[in-house]
Amino acid sequence: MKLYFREKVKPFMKKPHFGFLVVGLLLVVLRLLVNVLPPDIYGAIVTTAYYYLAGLGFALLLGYGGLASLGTGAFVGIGAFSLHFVFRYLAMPLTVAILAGIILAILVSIAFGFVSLRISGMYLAIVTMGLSQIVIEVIRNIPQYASGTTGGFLSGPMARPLEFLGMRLNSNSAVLFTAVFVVAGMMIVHNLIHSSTGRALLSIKNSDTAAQTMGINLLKYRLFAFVISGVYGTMAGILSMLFVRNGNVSQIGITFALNILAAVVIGGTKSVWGIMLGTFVIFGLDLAVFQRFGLGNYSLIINGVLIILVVMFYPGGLIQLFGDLKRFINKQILKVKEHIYGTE
Amino acid sequence: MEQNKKINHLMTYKHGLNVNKHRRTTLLVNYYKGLADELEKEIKTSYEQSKKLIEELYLENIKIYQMQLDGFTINDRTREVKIQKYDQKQYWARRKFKTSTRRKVDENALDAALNLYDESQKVKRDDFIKSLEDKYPHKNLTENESKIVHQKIEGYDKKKNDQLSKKTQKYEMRLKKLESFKLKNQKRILEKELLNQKLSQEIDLYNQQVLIDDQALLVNFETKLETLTKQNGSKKQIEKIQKKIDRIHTILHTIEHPDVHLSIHNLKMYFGGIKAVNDLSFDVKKGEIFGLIGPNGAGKTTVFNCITQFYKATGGDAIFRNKEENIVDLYERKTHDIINEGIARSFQNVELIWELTVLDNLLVAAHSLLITNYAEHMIHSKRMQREEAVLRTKGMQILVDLGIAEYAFRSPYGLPYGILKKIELARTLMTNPTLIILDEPAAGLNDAETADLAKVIQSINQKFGITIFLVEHDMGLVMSICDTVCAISFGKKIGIGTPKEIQQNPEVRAAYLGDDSDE
Amino acid sequence: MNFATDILSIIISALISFSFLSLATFGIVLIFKTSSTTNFAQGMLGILGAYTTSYLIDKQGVMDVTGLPSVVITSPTQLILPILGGILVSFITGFLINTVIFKHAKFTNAATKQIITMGLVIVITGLIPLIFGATVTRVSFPFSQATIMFQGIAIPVHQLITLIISTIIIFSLFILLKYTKWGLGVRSVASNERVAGMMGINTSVINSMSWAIAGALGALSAITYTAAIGTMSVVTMTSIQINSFYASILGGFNSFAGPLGGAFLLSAGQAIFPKLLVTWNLASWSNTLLYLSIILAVLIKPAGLFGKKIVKKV
Repeated sequence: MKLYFREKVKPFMKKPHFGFLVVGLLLVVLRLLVNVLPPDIYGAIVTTAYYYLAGLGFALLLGYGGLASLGTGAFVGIGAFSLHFVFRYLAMPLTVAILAGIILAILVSIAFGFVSLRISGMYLAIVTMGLSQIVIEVIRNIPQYASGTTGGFLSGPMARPLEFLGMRLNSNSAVLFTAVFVVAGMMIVHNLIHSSTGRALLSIKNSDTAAQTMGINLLKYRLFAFVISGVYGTMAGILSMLFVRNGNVSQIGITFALNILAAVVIGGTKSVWGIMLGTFVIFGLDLAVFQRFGLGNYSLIINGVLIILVVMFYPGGLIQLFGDLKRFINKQILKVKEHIYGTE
Repeated sequence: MEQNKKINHLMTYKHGLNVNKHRRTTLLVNYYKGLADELEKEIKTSYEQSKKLIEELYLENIKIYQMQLDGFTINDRTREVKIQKYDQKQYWARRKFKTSTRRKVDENALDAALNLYDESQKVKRDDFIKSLEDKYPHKNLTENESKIVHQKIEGYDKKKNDQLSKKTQKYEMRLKKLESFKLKNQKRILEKELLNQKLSQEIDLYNQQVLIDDQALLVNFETKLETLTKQNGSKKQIEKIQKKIDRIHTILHTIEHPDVHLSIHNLKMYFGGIKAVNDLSFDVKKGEIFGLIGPNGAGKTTVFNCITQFYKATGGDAIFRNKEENIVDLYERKTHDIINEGIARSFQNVELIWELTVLDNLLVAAHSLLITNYAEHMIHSKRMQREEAVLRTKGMQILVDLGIAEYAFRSPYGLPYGILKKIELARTLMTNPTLIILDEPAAGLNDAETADLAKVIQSINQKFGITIFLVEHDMGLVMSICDTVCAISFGKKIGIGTPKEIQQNPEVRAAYLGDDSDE
Repeated sequence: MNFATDILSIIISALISFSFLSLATFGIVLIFKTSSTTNFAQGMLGILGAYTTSYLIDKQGVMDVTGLPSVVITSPTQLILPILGGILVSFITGFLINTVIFKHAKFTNAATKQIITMGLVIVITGLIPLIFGATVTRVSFPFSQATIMFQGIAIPVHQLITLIISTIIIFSLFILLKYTKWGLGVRSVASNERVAGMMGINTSVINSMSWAIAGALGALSAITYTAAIGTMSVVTMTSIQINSFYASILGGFNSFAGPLGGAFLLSAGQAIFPKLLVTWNLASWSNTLLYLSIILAVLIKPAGLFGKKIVKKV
């Protein structure tokens, strides 16, 4: 009733968490529209959604940890390929496969984290690029993936249909999974940013000596940032495998990591919505618009130019641009109003 | 030679765990103690708010019916709404007219034009109202209608009372639950305090044992040293033993003198061939303001960095009486653990976080006081929110005390240097330290700001009894507020004493102050 | 006899990989020292030049019927102009990159500059197919198809010539750096750009020239490399890019010679590891293990094997 709405719902709507729920609901609605939308647009939206998850994790690492790690691709690969391997070749149930992927991700991110302690700022990007290359090579060396691709889930003599809690999953159910994980992912990152953990990360980024003076354990928080980023990336990989049903090693290399970097930088490293905007611009537009019209190369050029322009002139990203634009437009509207109606 | 030691590495490790646990338990107890009142406040405010909302909603709902009973029926309402809209439109039209006329004619003609306009508008408005009155005439309520309205109002009355009573019931139940929670909470507090007592006992036992061991070791080492010197043993071995002896001496010295807060003995920091600090020894007494002066490059900041474990000193000892009144060897501590012993420091270059507000910067400084971990941060648990509220209040209070509360909610970016320095100072106060190390706090400040800073430092020192250890170039500041001054040059101590004594020390004057007058 | 030939073949294949790697690595160091940024686009600059060269070669002969390129290399001179053209293109592109972009990004921090180079990678990746067409059939031609035998080991003449050219160029660059005014300018800017500017050195010219030279080196590296392996695509230089980064962190970014030392070690590793692992049938893991060992070395000595650690003043 009206009272309940006023008392409980209205305050909740003011919180940013409400926005996150709306996003989740939109994705669920998307699932219902699967037969209405053209398949490549549908696919583009879902792909953007789970790439957004990888971008969120990366943004936490970059924007709050100050650690430019190019390892995102490796983690997506770990998620996708370990899920596939454990499910298909080790014949474990789906939940076990997902857990295996997450545990592996945690271990590898801890390794990345330890490496990051010895290597500072600039070189970190290079070393993580190298580490991610190693991960990709390791995946390639597993005999089943020597060709660099996985087979589809539902093809081949060893195939097993996907089941979760007894229910049969098809590719489109992956959208529901995605919705759940995207909403949870957004909430967790938002909560972390607005908590002492997020502030501790920021203080390490600004000055690790001052942070230590205030009692912040560098190792612990570095590892934390890497683990979160790694798990998010792995979830993206798992979701991609659930949706696309096959994987290609070449898709998760340096180019992917650079694209995620582009998405985060262009959208706005510090804002959950900014990253969504960035992911949409980089991946969504590319998949839904450019690829359709065979303009893939143009999209690459535009992305690259955007990165350079944003990073040089608008470090806050497009979301900052939108904010400034909004203020500018409001100001202009006020000016016009004043012109017509005078000041009284 | 260390077989006589009763303390082994396992016991030291356990002791470390005990100390951490003790500290954490203290924080938890403080949290619990404030918890019951917080919860009660929460329940009460929530109840008040609900009541207010119910009242508001009720009034909103019955407003229309009440108006009808007062003779303000539907038609009247419609008329009023339409007139309002009409007036609103007219207001903007008039302004538009005024602005455009103003451009075409001068002030006098403007007034005349406006009057004309207003008069014609008045006529139009009266006509409009009349037409409304014809279309929506006033009708009194019939008996039936009146009865219906009364019923409706009664319906809402009942609803309101139902809601209120439900809320009151809930409120009373929550209060009752709170009572039983209070009991449990008390029990929890007592349990934790008992635990703390036990831990304290174990910690004390450990410390006593360490003392006994050290005294025994001392005898051992001294005999060994004698034999080695007699046998012309290797220089390296002798040095090693001597170091161990010195360390124990410093520890015993600190124990025996309860007024010594920090004891530095033969501190050495060598960077390759450069001896930044060379055999520096001094004691900082509890509650005093201690100043370290010396020319640039004399090694002052290096001393700080050795104490706070940013550098592992090449030699010497730094023994500290921590906030639990226990003696700790600072070299056994990691850099991020120093603050837990009760030492806070500020930096020469302002190291604030520009991306956060000033208050948030203070929150970071309270990191060592947190009882929540990252898991609770991910879900924003109630406990985390309460903890944050408490810390924000504390931070706000400190900002008020320092007179910079107006900047609490903005980024420190762009603020004047003096204010930034004060924020750094506020940061050090967040954890209630017993020793604050200030690295050139007056650097970049003008005379007025420096005088202000001196007052602030003194008030912190006197009000809270915090020992202040500062490094400074501004002699006015140093000589006016310091109780003890130590002068170093090229890493070596050249004088220590009261400001007056230092000012008259010929070596210091030659090296630093200049042979003429004092400042 | 076998052991000696093994060692010899290892050294020779190491030298061969080193010839390509050294040019690219030197370009990276040059830019790092002057612009304080790790240039992710070094490889792309190079491949841009290689594509240009290939295009220019192809232009020399087109079959009337199919419109496909058909070139018969009758003399080495046919190659010289296209190669110079490719180098020139990368030279100019490098110059422009600094003048247009980095000059106006001087006050951004190092991480930002890194991101700019990453953006450049993406831009060039998209640009190349647009300019040169999407087909991958164009390949730069090697200097010579011949092979000479040395102590029973086959050495392609092309790699030999590349090795000789690279050595000459690197050597001359070192001499230039040490003894010329320009070299002094580069070293001063590398040490402290602001102060160098105050001392009257035209830092923007130095920086642009460094970028230009890095571009030229990258182009030469790409041209010779693609000729050697016989294929060319937008991502061909990626592995050399990664390797030159690995070489630089292994050797230590601090000096000019360090990364080259790292490059040599890496090339040696690329030759040694497969030989070692082939006995356990793990030859495909050689790259992985090589990279892992480099990372391990860097963990032990974060400033690189030949680098110095800088202590920050707090």
